[in-house]
Amino acid sequence: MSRKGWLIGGAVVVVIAVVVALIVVSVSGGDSSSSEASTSEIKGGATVAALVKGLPQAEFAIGKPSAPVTVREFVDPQCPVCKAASEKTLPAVIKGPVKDGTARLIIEPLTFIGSDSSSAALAIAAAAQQDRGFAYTEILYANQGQENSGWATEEVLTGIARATPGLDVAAWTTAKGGEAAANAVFAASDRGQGAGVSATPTFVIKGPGGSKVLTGAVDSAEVISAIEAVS
Amino acid sequence: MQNSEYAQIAGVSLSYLGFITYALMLISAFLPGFPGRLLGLVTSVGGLLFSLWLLYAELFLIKAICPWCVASLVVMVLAFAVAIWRIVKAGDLRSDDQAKATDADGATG
Repeated sequence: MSRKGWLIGGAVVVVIAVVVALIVVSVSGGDSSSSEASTSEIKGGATVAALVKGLPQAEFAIGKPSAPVTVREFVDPQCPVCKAASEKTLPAVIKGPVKDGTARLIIEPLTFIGSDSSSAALAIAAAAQQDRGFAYTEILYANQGQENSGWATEEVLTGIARATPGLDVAAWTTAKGGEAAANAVFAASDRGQGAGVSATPTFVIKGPGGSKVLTGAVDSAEVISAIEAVS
Repeated sequence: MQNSEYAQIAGVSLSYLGFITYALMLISAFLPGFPGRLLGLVTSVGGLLFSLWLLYAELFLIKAICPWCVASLVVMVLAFAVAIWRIVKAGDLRSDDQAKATDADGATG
């Protein structure tokens, strides 16, 4: 073979080796600097910390356990309308009827949309074991990616856990793969089926004066007036 | 892809790696002679292999198709074909004696 032929062969072998090395680094998740960079990109931690400050949290719920009205919000972690509800509807509900002790809000994570929904729901359930299910869900919505794009990675979910105030990340990591978290997600799904939920978000609002169901894009005024109607 | 864990390699965005590859490819198109052809082949082989890996990641790992990655794969296949054509046409793979006899390096650069 000619000198040029050897050069071409050598260069091709080198470039193949470089690409294989790049793929190996990509699969192994890169070095620590990449995970640090992603963790620092987690949004919403401070906003949610301010929102939940001083309010009792238990499992998936926020608000006083003695509150006469219970608002169950059935959500899919991937649903964009749920993200909008988290950012536009819930803050006024939390600052109003939840804070004044009229209502207690409970997140019910469903997994309609795809595999990212399942991994995110398990992450929420693991946070709920430390009474941080609501706060974790709200920070998750601030970091929601495109549906079924593979956005709910270990890295993103762990970054959200780190940003969740009061969450023990090591215990959360263990809980996420445990049976209790899976059972909690199944239980939420059962409650969703029992309540006839076919779209997310669905707010099931129950109180001494009866119950009301609100589905889809609802604003805070509608939720608050429904709470008042059943209280 | 952009939202996935495969969007970066050691903290470097795939967009930057792609930009560098395409920039080198553009330089190779204007670089005369054997160095231009070699650079064209190296960048297109690297780009093609990496695009095939991204296609695998889209189909089997992320389970979402990224239109830009597929478009890039098509471009890389074409660039690879052009790079091979340039090398074969210039006779770079022939023995040195044959090459001396029909040296068309400058004309095909």
